[in-house]
Amino acid sequence: MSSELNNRIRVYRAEHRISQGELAERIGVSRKTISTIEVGKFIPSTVIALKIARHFDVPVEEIFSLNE
Amino acid sequence: MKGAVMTKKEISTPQLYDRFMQRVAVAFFVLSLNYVADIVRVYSSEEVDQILGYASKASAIAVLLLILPSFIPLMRRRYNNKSACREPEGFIVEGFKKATLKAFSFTFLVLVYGQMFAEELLLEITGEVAIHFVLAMLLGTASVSFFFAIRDDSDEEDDDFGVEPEA
Repeated sequence: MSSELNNRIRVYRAEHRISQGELAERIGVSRKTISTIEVGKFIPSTVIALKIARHFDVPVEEIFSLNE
Repeated sequence: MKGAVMTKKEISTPQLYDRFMQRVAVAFFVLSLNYVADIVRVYSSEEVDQILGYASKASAIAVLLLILPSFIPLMRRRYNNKSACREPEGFIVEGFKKATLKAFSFTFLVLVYGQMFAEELLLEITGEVAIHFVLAMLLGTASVSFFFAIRDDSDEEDDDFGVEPEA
């Protein structure tokens, strides 16, 4: 499963004060997709990961990282 | 809601697509039951055959009523803006792909097993029953696998960071 992939989407959402639904809307996916990425149930494609990073204007490694 | 991109009534295209996929999976399950009913009808009395015939027709109508309300708006959006319907790697779409792959694998294994160990049974059944059996298994396995794949115990309501605290 996705236990090896950490993400900081929730942190960035809190900083930017946007909901899962709003983020989903802005990058063109469903809210379920965002919520399952956040909890590590769904590993996003490179395209979705890059879109999320671009939305927060940070490198993708700032949001996604692998467990050591 | 501050910063909301869409109004409450307007559903986004990816959300609409998710809803459509979930309804397709429900339709798969109903259709698989229909095929099972068709097999039962072959071996049942005339009275049971008639009842199952009505049930099949009713469920076919129910499937149409289930699918069309999400299919028509989706096609309308696709017609107006072709790129609007692209969500090739969403959670639900991925679940659907996995489910169809599992359904194919499972059905293939059952057919191989049947060919190897149940040859006599296969010789007794008609082609129609065999096809209905395969379709029922494919659709049933796909729908059950799909709902198993997309179940999400951790799913909760949107935390809505976008709402500003009241002064």
